[in-house]
Formats: sequence, C-alpha cells, structure tokens
Amino acid sequence: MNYLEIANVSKYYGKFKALDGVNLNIPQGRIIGLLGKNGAGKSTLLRCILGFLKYDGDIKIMDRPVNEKHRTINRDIAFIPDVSSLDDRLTVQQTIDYVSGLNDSWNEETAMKLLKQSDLPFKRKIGKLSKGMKTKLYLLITLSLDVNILLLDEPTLGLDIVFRKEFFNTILGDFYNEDKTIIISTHQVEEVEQILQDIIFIDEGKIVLHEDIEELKQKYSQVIIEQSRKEELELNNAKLIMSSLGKASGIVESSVEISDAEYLRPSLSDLFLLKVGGHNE
Amino acid sequence: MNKFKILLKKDWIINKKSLLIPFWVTAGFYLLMLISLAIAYFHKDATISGFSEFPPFPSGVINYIGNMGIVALPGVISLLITILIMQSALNEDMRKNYELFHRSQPVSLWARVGSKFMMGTAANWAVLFIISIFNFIVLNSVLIYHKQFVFGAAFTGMLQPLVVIMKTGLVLGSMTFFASAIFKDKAFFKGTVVLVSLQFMFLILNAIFNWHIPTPLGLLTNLMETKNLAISGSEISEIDLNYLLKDRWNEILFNMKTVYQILLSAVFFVAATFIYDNREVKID
Repeated sequence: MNYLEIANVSKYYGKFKALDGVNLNIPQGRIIGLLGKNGAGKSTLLRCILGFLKYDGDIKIMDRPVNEKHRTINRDIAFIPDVSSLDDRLTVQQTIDYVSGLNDSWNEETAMKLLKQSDLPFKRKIGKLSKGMKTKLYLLITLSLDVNILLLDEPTLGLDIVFRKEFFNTILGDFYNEDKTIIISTHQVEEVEQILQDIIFIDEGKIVLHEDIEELKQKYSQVIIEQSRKEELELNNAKLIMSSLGKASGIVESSVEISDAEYLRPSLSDLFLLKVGGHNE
Repeated sequence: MNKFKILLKKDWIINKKSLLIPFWVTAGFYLLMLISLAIAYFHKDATISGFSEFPPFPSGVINYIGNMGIVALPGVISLLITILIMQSALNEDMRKNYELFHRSQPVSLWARVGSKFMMGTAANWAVLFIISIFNFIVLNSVLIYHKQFVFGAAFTGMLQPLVVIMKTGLVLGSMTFFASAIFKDKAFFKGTVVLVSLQFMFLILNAIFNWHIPTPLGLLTNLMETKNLAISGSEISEIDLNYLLKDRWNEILFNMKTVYQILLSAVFFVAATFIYDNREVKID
C-alpha cells in the first residue's frame, strides 16, 4: 500500500517554480532520505504534503486527498520542521499537555520513556530554552505520536553530536516499525546513510531519482588508484574524479573493472553529486 | 469538546497577560483609594465623608445608578483588550513562526479559530464580569451598612451596562477579527483606514450623484449604538424604577438590533475563518 501518492505536483512562488511536476509514490514501511541542495524544493515538497502550501496537482495521504483540507491527515502524519516552531509562550509541560491532549495518537508509554531520559526542564518556558533543547523537545513529542508517516525536515539542526547520534541510531529506531514510513530531509547525509532504505534526489524542483539505496549503490563503485594512473579513470568514464595523498578516486559503473584498483561502496553524497551535479567539498 | 477545552486552555495561557490587565488596573484603583483613605485617616484635618448622607430618591434608583458606574472603567479597558487580542489573533502565530506547530495538530480549524475568538470575547467578558462582581460587593457593602441596599435594582444597574459593553465588544471584536484575517499587521488600524476611506468614497458619491446610499460608518455606528444608559440629574427624581428594571432590557438586549449584531459578528467570524484557512504557511 502506498502511504503517499504525489501526482504531477507543481508549486510556484511568484514566477519561481519551486516544484516542477513532482511524481512520487511512497510505500508503507520505508525510511526514505530526501536529498537536495539549498532551495531545491525539499521543504516546499514536505509542506505541500502537509497541506500548508497551495499547489497544482494531487497529493494523497493514505488515500485521502490533501487538497480537500482533511484535518484528519494530521492523525496519520507528524512533522518536524527545519525551524523551531514550538510556541515560546508555553512551558515545556504545557506544550506536552497541549500536544498529548489534541493528538489521539499520543502514546503515553513512549512519551514517558523518551521524556524521562531527557534533561528537559519541564517548568521552563520554551522561549527560554536553547535552540538545541527546543529541537530535542520537538523531536521527543513528535516521536511520542503513534502516526504512520513521519516527515523530518532537517530534524537535528542545532543539536549536539551526541544527541544527533542517539537520535538517529536509537530513538528513531525505536519509533520505526514496518507499518511506518519516515521521510528525512537532511544535509547531514552521512549521519542517516546507515538507516535509510530509499533515497530521493531533488533538484530545481524536480525529482531526479527515487531508488532503493542498496540497488543504487550496487550500480556504482568508488575506485581508488595511484595518482599516476589517473587517466585510467577518465578512460573508464569515471565521474567525480579527485586526487588526494598520492591517490586518485572516482565513481564508475559497477561493470567497470580496473586492474589493481581498490573498490569501495560509494557514499550517498558521492551518488548525489554524481546524479545531481555540483562540487564535492 | 475535550479538544476545544485544551485549545481554550492554551489560548488562555497565551492571552493571560492581556486579559488580566483590567484586573491590575482595578487593583491599582483600589490601592489608590486605600492610600487616600489611609492619608485621610492619619491626617487629623481630613474627614472621610463618603455615603454618609443619601439624596431623597427611592433607594432602588440610588442602587441602580450607583451600580451602573462600577462597570465603566473596567468596561472601557475591556473593549481595548478586545481590540488588542482580536487584531493579533490570526497573525501572532504566523509572525512568531509558531504557525507550523499549531497547524500540525489534528484539530479542526474552526475549533482553533473559535478558541481564539472566544478569548477576545467570552474570556474577556468573564474577566469583566468577575471585576464587576467584585466592585459590586465593595460598593454594595457600603449600601448594606447604611441599610439602603436593594439587590434587584443594584444588580440590574450593574448588569445592564455590562451587557451593553459586551454587545459593543462583540461587534467591534468580530470586525477587528475579520481585519486580522485580511491584514497581517496592525489589523485594527488598517481596517479603520479602509473603513474611513470607504466612508469618504460613499460621501463623495452621494454628494456628486445626489444618491442616498447609507455610509459604512453610519451603518456600523447605528448597529453598535445601544440605548444611552445615562440618566440626567433632572430625570432622577421622576424615573420609574419599574421601567429601569424591566422595560430597559427590551431597549438594551431583547430587540432586533441584538439579533443583527450577533448575525454580523457571525458573518465576520465565518469570513475571517475562510480567509485564514486559505492562507499559506510560508517558509522563512
């Protein structure tokens, strides 16, 4: 069953086309990475899915069209935006009470477990929390919701590395099961690479690629050879050729064989650069 | 219903500071009175002479008129609070980037908007009512002490201006609420500017073409206008208490104007909700 069906969705900001005929089918039980450069349309796509923006085309969440402003879509879907949108005027406890009271999908057991482990000051106003604390609170209350679809837009922005690791390796893992689908839009692709099952590349509002990561990685290899043999990479039509510490590396199709070369699985960021273009910094 | 209570609680927390302003002003007023009394008490030359003599009118009329005044100050402040809350009701979350969080909650938009509307009207009225009851107790303690207290007249005297303020607040508040759906900043001011501009346009058109189209401000003031409750000095001795306690209710509340006021407020509320519903949650 497809949890999300996006058909020919376009979105304009004035004359700027932020989304250009996006077509996507997102099935049940997948963890999907949404990758794109700044301004590629990631946040716009997520906000169109949630019905926050007007768009052309059709989006269905679990067979219910978003355009018809079904408020019930929020029963199935939870969202963490890239900017802290928690209400600064409420305290941590008031925020938890507010979200738990309005969401039938609130899981008290999960919430207790997550919030107990956190060092959140429950009586403090949100406005007095650090950016990291706000993000942490947002993540924990959102993960306390038993929803089928979770949209994360740069979820760990502003968090320290310890919590980021904990979030991606443990907390998100506890949330996920085969009934749920998680879409993560992030720049810190290395952190999520291990947990992603599918990847979507978006560029200039268009979906460039939507594929199973394992299958994608099997199609390409990263080849490392001596710097002096760099031209062999070019001869084999390698992309993203780089030189460093006397070695040269490049991405080639898996069928390509170069003698005495070291073969590695390409990283997601390499594959992104390969498909979308840009500089490998 | 339970979810609506949660929305009301959240909106109460958010608007608490504004809603309690009339409390603090009233408290300040009482503090000043206490200080004045203390000065008078400790100052040998001063005498405290309030309510020691009563005019030769029936007790009921004195109770009625005396209690009318206790609503005036908190009432005016309450109207200002209505404007303050209503003009930011649909914009504050957007301006402060909270909109995404609140719109992500699975609750009907009508309930969300209704809760905000309730803060500017019902919650504000509740605060005003509590202050009025407090003032009522304080003032009438003096009347009870002097054996001049007539509950029916006193309570009606307090209640009638309260109802007038509530009705004015309803129309003014819902108009401001509607303006807040159209203008994202300084909604009351901008709404007033539009209204005044329309007024001038209608006046000019009427003058040029010799038309008699009712002007928007004329219509609105007529709609908001309620029976003038003031009683002049010459009227006091002749006024019929029965008229004050019974017939005046027909002039104040039980008439078609009240129905129009409620209908107009409902139209403003519904229109504001539709406009708000069609707003996009922009990306910063």
